[in-house]
Amino acid sequence: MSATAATTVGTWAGDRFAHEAFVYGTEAEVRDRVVPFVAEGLERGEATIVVASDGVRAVLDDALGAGRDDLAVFADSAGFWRGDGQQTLAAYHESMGPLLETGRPWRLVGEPTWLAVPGGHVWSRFEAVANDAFSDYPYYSLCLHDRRRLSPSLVDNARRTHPLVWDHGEVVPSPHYQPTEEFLRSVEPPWTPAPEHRESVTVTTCGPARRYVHANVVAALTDRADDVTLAVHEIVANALEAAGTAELSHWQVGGTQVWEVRDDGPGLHEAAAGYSPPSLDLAGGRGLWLAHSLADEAIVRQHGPGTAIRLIFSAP
Amino acid sequence: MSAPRTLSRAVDLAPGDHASWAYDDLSGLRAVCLDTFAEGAARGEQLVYLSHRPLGQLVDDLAGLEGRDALLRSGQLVVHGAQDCSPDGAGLDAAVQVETWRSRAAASVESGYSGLRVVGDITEEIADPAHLADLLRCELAVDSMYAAAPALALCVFDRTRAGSRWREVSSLHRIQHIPGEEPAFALTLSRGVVRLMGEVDLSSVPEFAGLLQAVVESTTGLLEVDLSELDFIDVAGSRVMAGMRTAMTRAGRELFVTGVRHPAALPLREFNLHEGAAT
Repeated sequence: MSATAATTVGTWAGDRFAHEAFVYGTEAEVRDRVVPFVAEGLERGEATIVVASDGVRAVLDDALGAGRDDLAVFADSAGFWRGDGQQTLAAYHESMGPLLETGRPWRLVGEPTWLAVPGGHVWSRFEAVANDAFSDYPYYSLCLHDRRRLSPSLVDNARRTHPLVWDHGEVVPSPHYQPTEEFLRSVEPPWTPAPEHRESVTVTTCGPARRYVHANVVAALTDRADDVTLAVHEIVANALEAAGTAELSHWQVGGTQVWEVRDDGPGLHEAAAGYSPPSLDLAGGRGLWLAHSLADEAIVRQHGPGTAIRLIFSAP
Repeated sequence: MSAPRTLSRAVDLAPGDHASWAYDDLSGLRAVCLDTFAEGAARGEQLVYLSHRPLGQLVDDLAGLEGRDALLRSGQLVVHGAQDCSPDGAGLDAAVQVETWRSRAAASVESGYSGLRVVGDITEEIADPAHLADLLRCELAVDSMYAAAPALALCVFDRTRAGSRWREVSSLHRIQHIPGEEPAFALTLSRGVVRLMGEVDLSSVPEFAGLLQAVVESTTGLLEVDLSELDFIDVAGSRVMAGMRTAMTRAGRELFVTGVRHPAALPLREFNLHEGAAT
C-alpha cells in the first residue's frame, strides 16, 4: 500500500505500527475523527476493529448504519480489562495472532476506559511499551481518551506515550511524546539506594532460594506469600541461568516489602524489560513478565555488566 | 506438601514401595544393603540382591548381615547377576521385567515368605547410553507393578560412576535418597496418566524433559498429566510441558493437564496449559 495524502492515517503505509492518541470531549469530535477513520478502513478492505465506550459506539452506530456489520469487532471496552496491565496486554497481544497471520494491515479504534478504574493507570506504561513491542505489526491504533472522564495526568500520559496525535484535521507527531525508557522512568518508583538494614543472601540454586523467600515474606503479605515466592523465584531463576549465582535481598519500607535480585550475568538492558508481552512462541521472557504481573511494582536497572531487579509488594 | 519421600536410612520400607538410593562409595552401598535386608529378614521376606559385579563381591557386601550364610543356604537370601533377570537375552524389556518381578513376588509368597524385597544395582544401566532409554521405560512400568504386588524394590546406583543422567532415574521413584540433597520431584506413569509430585523448576528441567520424552515414547494417544500432587512448577518447567504438547500435537497426539492448583496455574497459564485450573 502506498501513502496517500489527506487520508485519516497520515503517511501510514500499512506496513508498520502507528500509534495515535486522540483526546476528545464531545460526540462531535468523535464524529469528525473516528467515523472517517473507520469508514476509510472499511472502504480499503482492512480489518477494522472498534473496542470503545458506549458513547463512541453510539456515534459510530449512527454514522455507519448497516456498515457496522462489516466491522471485524464492535465491542465495549469494559470487558477488556483483566484486572492488571500484563494480563490485559497479553490478551490483546494474543487476539492479534489471527490478524498477523493474514499478513494484511488492519486498523483499530481502541478506547482504554480502564485507565480510570483502580489500578488501571498502569496501562499508560503498556501504551508506551507497545511502540517498541509492536513496531513491526502492520496496524494503525487510534486510541481514544475522553477528557471528561480521565484525569489531566492520564490525558498527559496519553500524549507522552503516543507518537502521533490529531491536530486540526491531520495526523502529526506528538510534541509531548517521550521515548519508552524516559516515560517509564518518569512514572516508576525511584531507584533509591538499598537500605543498610536489608537482609541479603547469596543464592546458587532455586529451591533453597525459594524457601528463603517464603520464610521471609512479611506477615502483612501472608495471603500473597505463594505469589511473592513465585515472582521472586522467576527473577532468581533468570539470574542463575544468566550468571550461576545471585544476591537476593529484602527490606521493608513502610507497608511495602522490597525484594531485590542482583546478578553479574549478561545484562538485561532493554528499557521495556518485563513490560513487553512474551513472543507468541515458546521462547523466553515469560518469567520476568509473570513476576512483573504478580508484583505491585517491578523495576529493572543495569548493575555493572549484569542486572538488578526489584519487586515491590504492598500490604493491603 | 506432596514432596517425594526422602530416606535417610534404608528402613521403614513396606510392600508396594519402589525407592531409589544414590550412593557414593562401597561403604555406602553396603550400609544400605545391610539396613534393608536386616529389616526384610526380620519380616520374613525373601531377599534378592542383584548387580553386575562378581557374585563373590556381592556376598562380601553382606558380610555384616546377621545370619547371612544361613539365609543364603535356606534360599531366603538370593544373590545373582543382573543379567540373570533378562531371560532369553531380552535385555531391559519393560513388559518382560514387569512379568519377571510380578512372578517372582508371587513365587516368594507361595514359598511361605511374607513378600519379596529386591535390591538392584543399576549403575551400569544408567551409565550406558545404549541402555538408559530402556531402563527409563522399565522403571516407569515396574512402578505400578510394585505398587500392587507383595514386593518392594530398592534401585541403588553409584552416582559417581552413573554419568550425568542419574537424576532422571532417581526421579522415577516416589521414595528417594540423594546424599546431601532433598529430592526435587517424582514422576510416575500408571494407566496412561503421568503423575507429578514435589517441585519442578529450572534446576530440574533436564530431568523433567528427559522423563516426559520417555513417557511419550512409552505411550500412545492421549496423555494426561495429573498435577494434583505437584507443589510447585515455574515457567521453565511449564515451558517443557508446552514444548512436549506441541511435539505431540504434530504427531497427532494430545497432552492435557489436570489437577492444577494455585500457584502452579500461573506459570502454566503463560503457555495455555492451565485449563480447568482452580486459581
